[in-house]
Amino acid sequence: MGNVPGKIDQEDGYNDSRPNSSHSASSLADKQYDDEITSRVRTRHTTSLVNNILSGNNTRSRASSNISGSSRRKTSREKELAKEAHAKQLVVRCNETVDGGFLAPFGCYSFEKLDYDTTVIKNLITKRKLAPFYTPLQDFDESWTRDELIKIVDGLPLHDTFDEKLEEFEDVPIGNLRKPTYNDLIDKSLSKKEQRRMHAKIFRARLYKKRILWQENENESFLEKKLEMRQLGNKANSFGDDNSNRPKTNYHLPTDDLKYTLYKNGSECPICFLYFPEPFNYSKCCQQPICTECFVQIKRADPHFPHDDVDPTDPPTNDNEKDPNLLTSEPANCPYCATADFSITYQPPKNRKTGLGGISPDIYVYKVATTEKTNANQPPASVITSDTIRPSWETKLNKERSRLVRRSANATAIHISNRLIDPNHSSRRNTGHSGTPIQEESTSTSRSPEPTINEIEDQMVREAIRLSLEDQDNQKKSKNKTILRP
Amino acid sequence: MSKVPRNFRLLEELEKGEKGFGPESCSYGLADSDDITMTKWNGTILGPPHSNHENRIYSLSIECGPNYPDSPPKVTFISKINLPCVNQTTGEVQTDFHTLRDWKRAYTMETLLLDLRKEMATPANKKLRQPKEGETF
Amino acid sequence: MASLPKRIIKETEKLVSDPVPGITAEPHDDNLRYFQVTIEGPEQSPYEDGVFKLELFLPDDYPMEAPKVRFLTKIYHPNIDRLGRICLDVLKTNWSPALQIRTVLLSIQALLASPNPNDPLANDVAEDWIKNEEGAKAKAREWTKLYAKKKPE
Repeated sequence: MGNVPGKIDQEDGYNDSRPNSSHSASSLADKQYDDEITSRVRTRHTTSLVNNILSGNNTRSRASSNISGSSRRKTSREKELAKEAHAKQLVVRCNETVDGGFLAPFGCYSFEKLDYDTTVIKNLITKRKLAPFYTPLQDFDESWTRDELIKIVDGLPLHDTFDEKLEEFEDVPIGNLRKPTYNDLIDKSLSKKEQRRMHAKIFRARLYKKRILWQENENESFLEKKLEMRQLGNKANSFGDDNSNRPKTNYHLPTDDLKYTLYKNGSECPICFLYFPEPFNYSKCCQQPICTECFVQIKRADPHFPHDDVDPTDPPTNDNEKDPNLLTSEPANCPYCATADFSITYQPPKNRKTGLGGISPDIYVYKVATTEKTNANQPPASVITSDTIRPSWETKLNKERSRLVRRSANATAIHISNRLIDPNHSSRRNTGHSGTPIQEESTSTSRSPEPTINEIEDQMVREAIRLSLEDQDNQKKSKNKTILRP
Repeated sequence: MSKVPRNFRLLEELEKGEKGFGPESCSYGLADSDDITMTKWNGTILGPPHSNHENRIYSLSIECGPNYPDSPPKVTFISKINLPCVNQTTGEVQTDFHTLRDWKRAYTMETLLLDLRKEMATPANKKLRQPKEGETF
Repeated sequence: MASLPKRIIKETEKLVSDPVPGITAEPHDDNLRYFQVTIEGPEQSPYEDGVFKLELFLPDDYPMEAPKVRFLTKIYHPNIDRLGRICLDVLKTNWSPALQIRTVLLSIQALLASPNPNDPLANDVAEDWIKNEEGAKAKAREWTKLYAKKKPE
């Protein structure tokens, strides 16, 4: 399996000793990291097939099934890598700041629900088109003095505590997290299906643990820097207010001025009820504030059939019987006024521009509000829709449609083969028939290895499936035009 | 992760059972659709293939007490079956059956039925002589 | 995630300190996402003078996901089934994270005041309601007396 995936684990996370030298360097490092991930995925894509055949870990079956088996494993491995890369992008990093906020969420919502496109979000925040993920205060008291407020802000963690007591992962072995593979943890005496299930479970447990470790690492270095800065800060005070005499800290920690500026004039997000620095994002339709952490939660409903009220007492309707092309998914509505196509606008703060692309947060000094009328010069705020941050919604919809098409094709196949009179009818693998993705389920009904079925019937079945697929494909193509808005 | 209270957990299970989202080899539903406490349930298990249970359908009654799912339900076979974990006079699945003994909150009635089905298919149990089909406890 | 979200704490505090008239909602001590609820039947409805018990649960993804609510008191209503499940748009497709426990309970109270037999959950009750509204209302009043009687104070 090679050392390729192993590198990922060693490099980031466990002993992350990368010096967080400067903004540009860190974002560059991230970019490199992204590229590496993609190239790794790509490398695996091209080599693993060869590897798998060469390693011959599944040689007992025919060559053809070996190929199909290993290619499935490869895609799931790719998916795992992508998931892991996504999780890594959700780590709140203390050097990735914009205007006093961060590029990853504090953790008010569960990890599973953070399925937005991290690259899109990070870019929007860095370009100041979306409010950064600020660390929320649970409460705010008007009567707090400057010192009290700064002390409270100083005590804020980068990320909310993780729920350690997850029952789900209680008995799941995770093995050595540094090792990229964990096949040795899987009970080989289990059925293939059970093994796959166990594999998925271990992956989730490992990812959960890794996320905690990644974030803890970041928290630690955050804390160290804070302590260091406090010492330097004390020294700095003895130098007086003259910045030129200040020792260069080179860290991305905010000055007291910045902390105070951020939090003294914050407000509560109407959805999570947490207190955040201003300015907020505002809904385009009704000008209501929404924090970024809540905004990234608003998304299209999952693909569904129109007017499917999910009435619990409805007689069970079989989705197999419905036309997959009718599956739809509408853009999210505004949570406040239910206007369709929810979108927000954001005006970046006028009194600060720190972090990535701005001045270093550790030299920010509060200046009394500039009286100049900057409004006219402000660029118009750009509009960000819920779909912008989950560009994959259309793929998801089409995937779900073709899943249903496949399923109903399977059902048709089973149905037809059941209706055939010959009890010894064998359903030979339809592998040779291109374009008909018959899954194992449909063939698992086979009883006798002997092909005693007469050729005409066999052909009829295949023809029926092919026609049904073709038909649905055509329908999909034409329906797509009407249902999906460009 | 918050704990889903008993009633909402049972409603989830009911919906899953009603919509047939679960596996085809077993099913379950509320015994009395008027029972707001959702205590009594019916279950069926389709006998596993390549065993003496093949093609048999077993009926069971399941009782989810007030402490479900913190405590396991009480399960009783209505159809007669010869299995070591089943009391041969009452049909009750004995509380030392591993799924009941090592019960976890995440387990559902479906878990239980599937595990019983697996139990029927173990090498030790699959060839056990079975009572005539259709007999009840 | 580990502790109770601020929003739930704040909503609970408000429900206790500034209750909605005719509605009570109190969390269980051992599960602060699980509420014991009572709703008084609206005046001039067949449910008048009745007190209905409900249970409400805030799932992990609340407020991105709607609260789960169910009647524990038997009620004759076209949009409430025999297990107490409620057919109400804001609990399903029209849920919005800007809504709250308070708004949901008010909507349920409003549903008692104006049943909607054209979008039924309890089909037999809805049929009854459409065919013979007076009779259905009489039965609803009868059930209210039978099952939802106010406890003497």
